Amino acid sequence: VKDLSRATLRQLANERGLMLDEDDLVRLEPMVPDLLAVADGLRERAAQWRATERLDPDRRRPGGGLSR
Amino acid sequence: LSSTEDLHFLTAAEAGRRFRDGSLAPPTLVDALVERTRRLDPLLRSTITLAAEAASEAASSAEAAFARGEWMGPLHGIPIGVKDCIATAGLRTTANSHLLSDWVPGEDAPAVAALRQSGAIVFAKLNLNEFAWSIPSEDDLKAPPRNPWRPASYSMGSSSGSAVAVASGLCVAALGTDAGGSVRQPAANCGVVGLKPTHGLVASTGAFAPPSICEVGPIGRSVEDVAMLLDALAGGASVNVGEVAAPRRRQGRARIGVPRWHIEAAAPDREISAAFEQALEAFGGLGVDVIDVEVEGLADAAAADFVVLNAEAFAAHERTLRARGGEYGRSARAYHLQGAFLSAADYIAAREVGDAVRGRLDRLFSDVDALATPVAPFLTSEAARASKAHPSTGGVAVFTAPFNLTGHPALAVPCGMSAAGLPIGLQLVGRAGGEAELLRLAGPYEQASPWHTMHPADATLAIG
Repeated sequence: VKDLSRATLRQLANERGLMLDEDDLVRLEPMVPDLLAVADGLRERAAQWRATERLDPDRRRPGGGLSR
Repeated sequence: LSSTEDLHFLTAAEAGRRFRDGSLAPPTLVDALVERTRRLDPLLRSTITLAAEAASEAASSAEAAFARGEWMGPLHGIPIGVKDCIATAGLRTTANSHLLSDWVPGEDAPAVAALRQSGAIVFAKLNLNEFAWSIPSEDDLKAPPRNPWRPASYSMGSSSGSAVAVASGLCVAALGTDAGGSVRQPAANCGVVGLKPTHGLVASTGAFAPPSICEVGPIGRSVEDVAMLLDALAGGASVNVGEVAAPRRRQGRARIGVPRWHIEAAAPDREISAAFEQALEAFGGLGVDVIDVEVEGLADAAAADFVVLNAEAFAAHERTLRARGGEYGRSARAYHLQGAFLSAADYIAAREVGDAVRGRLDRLFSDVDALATPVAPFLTSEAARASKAHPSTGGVAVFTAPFNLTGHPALAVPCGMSAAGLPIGLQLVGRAGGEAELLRLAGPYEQASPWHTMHPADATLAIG
């Protein structure tokens, strides 16, 4: 899990123009680092699979191409 | 069934058959459910808006149509509940948010329109986690639904009201939405059947939901009922309901794959593991081959669904969060803000992970008819709630969310009961567009097991 202080979280929020109050920060403090750690892991996984597997562009649609 | 009181646990199929043989009239069923909802829902909190008057009028119209020999199909006259994030014309739709406490849509969502066109009656708008993406919270517009099997606990969500209403005998069946397990988890937690259809099979517009991963799905008391609802939702092209009720003999033995490594890595509660193994044995007894399989990346796909959900939830709510952020519940506000901290690269990586796992599953489904997993690794909504803030552990959606991202259909069927009296669910996942096969596989298992015949006792609901 990424280390993310409340001050850093506040700074990130400010950079995004989000007006967060203390309650928001308390709630988001444990959630956002975990989410960003998950996202970091996925970027690594996607890069690894991109290098070893050919992703079929036809499947780059939700539902695997099923449409109606 | 002789008394009015006995009507509330009829399945949609049973009620429809009784409408047609004249032993039950739609107004009698609607009146019984209205009375039951008014008596029990102050405790259960499953219903945000009860459409008693409109439902009574529709029931009288159905009765008159039957008298004229007109029949719109097996759902004609059946009272259905609708998750309150799905738009209903002329009927308040709140998404359980103070932001929408007075919103009355001018049009039905396509899924609701499809049900009305099949003759179903919209009976109630059902409770949910605010905007279907949050955790159960007492500061939502309506406090969270209670699990009828143990009213001291909330129901798992987010289609909690839909599952609670069906399990408690307040609605015959219901619609939910599912972006990571929100139909399947509450269905399993309340002992009823829930389906997340293949992405794109059922129109999900007109619902507050992350568009690329969320499906409108049916919740019912039987596999047959879910098949009937899906048939109506998908325009009649998806399922032969008669084959679900009386499954045809398959050519060769059906085969279920068990992603054993993924399941064990998630370390489900031991009572869930035991019920799951018993269900697999039961399939073996029905002549189904059960084999272990490996699908690389299922846990990654669950995590990726969480990233996509957060990104799309923030994108959908950004303007409202900035303009009226104080009107969200505190939990819902935090949940919808998370996605602001993700990057475009994060979102694209998550989608690529989904592409890769979808390809692996598609290849696997040339060798097996379905995958089987537990629905959730936890028994209680409290454990599920605690896991949601820490997705790196897999969380409550570790078994359900991968298939939102890949788009494959997934069905939750009751498969056991914990020592404390909480239902446990089995998940069956099928090939894209393979709902009919999935339901045909689940139907005989359901009929061979006792779980679908069990209902929470009114005494439990009265005591609370």
